Amino acid sequence: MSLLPDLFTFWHEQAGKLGHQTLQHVALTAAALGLGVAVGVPVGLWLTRRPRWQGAVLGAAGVLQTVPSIALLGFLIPFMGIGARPAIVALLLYSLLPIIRNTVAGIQGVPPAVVEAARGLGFTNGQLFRQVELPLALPVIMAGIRTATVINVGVATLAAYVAAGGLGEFIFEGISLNNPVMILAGALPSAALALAFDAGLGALAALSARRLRAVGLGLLVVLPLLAAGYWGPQLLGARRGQPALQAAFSPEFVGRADCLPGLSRIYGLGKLPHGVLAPALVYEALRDGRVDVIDGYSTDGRIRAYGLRVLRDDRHALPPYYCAPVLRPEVLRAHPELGPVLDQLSGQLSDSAMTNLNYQVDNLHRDPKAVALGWLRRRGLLKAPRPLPPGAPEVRLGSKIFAEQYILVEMYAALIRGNTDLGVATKTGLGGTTICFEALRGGQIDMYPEYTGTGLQVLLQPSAAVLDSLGGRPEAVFSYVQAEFGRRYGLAWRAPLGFNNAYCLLMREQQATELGITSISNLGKYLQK
Amino acid sequence: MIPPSPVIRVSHLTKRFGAQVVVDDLSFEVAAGETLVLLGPSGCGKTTLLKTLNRLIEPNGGTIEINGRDVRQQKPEELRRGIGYVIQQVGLLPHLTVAQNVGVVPGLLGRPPAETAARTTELLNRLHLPAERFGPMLPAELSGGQQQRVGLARALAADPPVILLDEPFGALDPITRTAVRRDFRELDELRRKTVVLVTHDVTEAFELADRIMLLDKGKIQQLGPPRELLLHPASDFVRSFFQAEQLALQLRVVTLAEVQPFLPQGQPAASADTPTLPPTASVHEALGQLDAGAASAFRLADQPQVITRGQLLAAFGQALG
Ligand SMILES: Nc1ncnc2c1ncn2[C@@H]1O[C@H](COP(=O)(O)OP(=O)(O)OP(=O)(O)O)[C@@H](O)[C@H]1O
Ligand SMILES: [Mg+2]
Repeated sequence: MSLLPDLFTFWHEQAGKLGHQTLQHVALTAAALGLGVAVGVPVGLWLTRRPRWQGAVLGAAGVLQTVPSIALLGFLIPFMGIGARPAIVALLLYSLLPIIRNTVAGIQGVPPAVVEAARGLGFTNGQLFRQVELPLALPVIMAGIRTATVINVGVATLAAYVAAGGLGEFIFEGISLNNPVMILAGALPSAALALAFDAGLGALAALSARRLRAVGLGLLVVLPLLAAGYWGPQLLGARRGQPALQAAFSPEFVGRADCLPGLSRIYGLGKLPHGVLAPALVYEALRDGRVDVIDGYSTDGRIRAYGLRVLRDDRHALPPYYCAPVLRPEVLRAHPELGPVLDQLSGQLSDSAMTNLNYQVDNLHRDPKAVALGWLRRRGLLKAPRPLPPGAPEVRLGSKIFAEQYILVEMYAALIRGNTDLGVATKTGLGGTTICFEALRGGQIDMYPEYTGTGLQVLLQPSAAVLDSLGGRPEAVFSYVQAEFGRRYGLAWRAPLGFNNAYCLLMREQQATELGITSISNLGKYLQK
Repeated sequence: MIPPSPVIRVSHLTKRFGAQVVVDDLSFEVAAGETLVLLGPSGCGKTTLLKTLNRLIEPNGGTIEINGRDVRQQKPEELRRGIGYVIQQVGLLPHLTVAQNVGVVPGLLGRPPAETAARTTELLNRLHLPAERFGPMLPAELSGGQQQRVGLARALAADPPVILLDEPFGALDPITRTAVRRDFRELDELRRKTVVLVTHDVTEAFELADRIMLLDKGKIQQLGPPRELLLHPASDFVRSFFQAEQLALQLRVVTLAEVQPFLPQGQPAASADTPTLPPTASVHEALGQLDAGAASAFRLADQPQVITRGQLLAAFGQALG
């Protein structure tokens, strides 16, 4: 097991990135926590004076807590855009429930006899609160803050989805690249941070109720300072003059050797400042002018819908991604009639045809099945489903979680239903590459559409020498992938469908025209100026 | 001699909780240095009455004057800092040490810390909690009886002229209860103070009270010295309230002077080592002396002849007639 040495090598090589991400992570957590304390504790205290509102406020905070974090971020983006702001607000909303609830419980947990005795001795309301109720409630309030912290450190990994940075960048790159070392490289520091925060707050709480002032100062001074550790330099950077172009890339694009690192080397994009953003969000971020350059897929329907320009890869740096069905050979052996049916699609879908189909689903919000059947009908490939004989065996089709795959799976399903006596079950939305691949290997599905570049880079991960020898030639890559899948995993690739859904760099048409950029070389030259 | 002016003057005090009248048009006075005990069945309004005195509860009607000033004209917290207050559940501040608890009210009053520290040490020592050992401890480290002593010390720390106590010896086992009560009685500070004390315990009331106020359903049933309530009950309620402990209470209120006319004459003269008791001592005290000491007889001050236990009890019976 070389995981551990690999991990240390990775950290060593990426020390700069690791430090930066850790700083961002700490800053996000601290900012959200500081706000959480500043909002949650007063709200909790107010609720102890207005018990009638407790149900409503705690209920609302509880509902917020149950919203999945990724959905919460998604809700916030239309209002707040991308970057640190929505991330901090999401974290803040998650930290409210434990802080408010524990503040209420802490104050209400002060024994009534103690309160009565203190009143009877002549404490004013303010003195009673500061000298009796707050110190006695403090351990419970601190416990709430610690719960919120551990939640926040964990949820802050999702900040990487909205270009707010943090240790989630490594994690998401690692997931999209099927690279456990990379996942651990982000997950372990994140876990360590949670423990460190928890221990720090524990130490603060152990200062005990008698040093209320110290605890308050600790929270309200240290947390903003930690947060400033991130935004301070950013503000300074802003004063030095914003760079002309800002990019946002999906985690996979950032992490893969043949994507951003390769492009940077070949075209000299080193000066392009970039954040990491969820693949689903990059197009809108570009359209809305929040960033100027993104990575995308050359068949994505939004290229057409949003008026985007694909920058020509004039030096052929980006690898080919021809789409083809991958399946378990057992299925073909059991049902030989299936092979010719699947091959009805090979070579039939051009880049522009696929872009158009994707556009109909992604942007016109048409049903993938209707779009798939419509295309088959126009091509004369659509046949009415045959009646199923009782006990007919079933072919299970899987897909990743995006429109193109849904459309392709619906096409295959219709072809199988119309041309064979086999049943079809579709398992769409299986997440990313790894999940589909493992489902196929494990026999949970029989087939899914895969891309040659993904098979090569994500699954096979050949040595640099092999990559060089393939040199980005589509046929060479396909033959290599087909042969290696058979040898290593016992899985078969059928002939490609024709389109190349490759990575590409995208800009807004208008801005690209203004700057005179049509190719990645142009972009590189522009950045050098 | 002019009788001391009343320190607490209550007139037509009424408190309702909803439709329930808990304190019903009460008027009474407490003189300086007097100990008034509030006695009565559970729920009769004792605690409510006590809390209206330091404005922990605001009454619906009537007036309360303390030291000649209407309590409503003072800020509640300033009023309370001048009145010692002890509750049954003690209510020590759990995050402060014993010494800090005792020093709370002087602290609120802004007294110099050195003065407060000296006063705290003195009070703790006097209540059998040596300050150097108990001062730095937290309340949770003390027994129930020790906590109640600290509660008492806390109420006395600022030397307030008036002290209110709500069942200060409740929730203690009988032996501890007696010990704490004895410490309480022996605090000479308390002799100078005006005390209002709530209790359930009839014996305790008789032991501590100058006057007892017997309450039922928010009304005064009888207000007077213990012996008057016992020997001249104003109603059947008062009589039946003391019924169960009649004999024990009578032993406490009847003095040797009252039984003297019924003692046999011509007894042998006392020797030099015969214990002597004053005529104001109660029969209970005389019996206690005989049971505890080696002597089998005693004599009254200024009287030559000895009195035995049997003779005392016989005369006590005749005196009650
Ligand atoms: N805050 C309150 N709201 C409503 N009713 C109350 C409140 N406080 C007391 N009472 C009622 O007033 C009555 C007198 O209560 P109080 O506590 O004065 O009795 P007490 O004589 O001290 O009884 P105990 O000997 O059991 O302590 C009781 O019937 C009680 O239920
Ligand atoms: Mg009571």
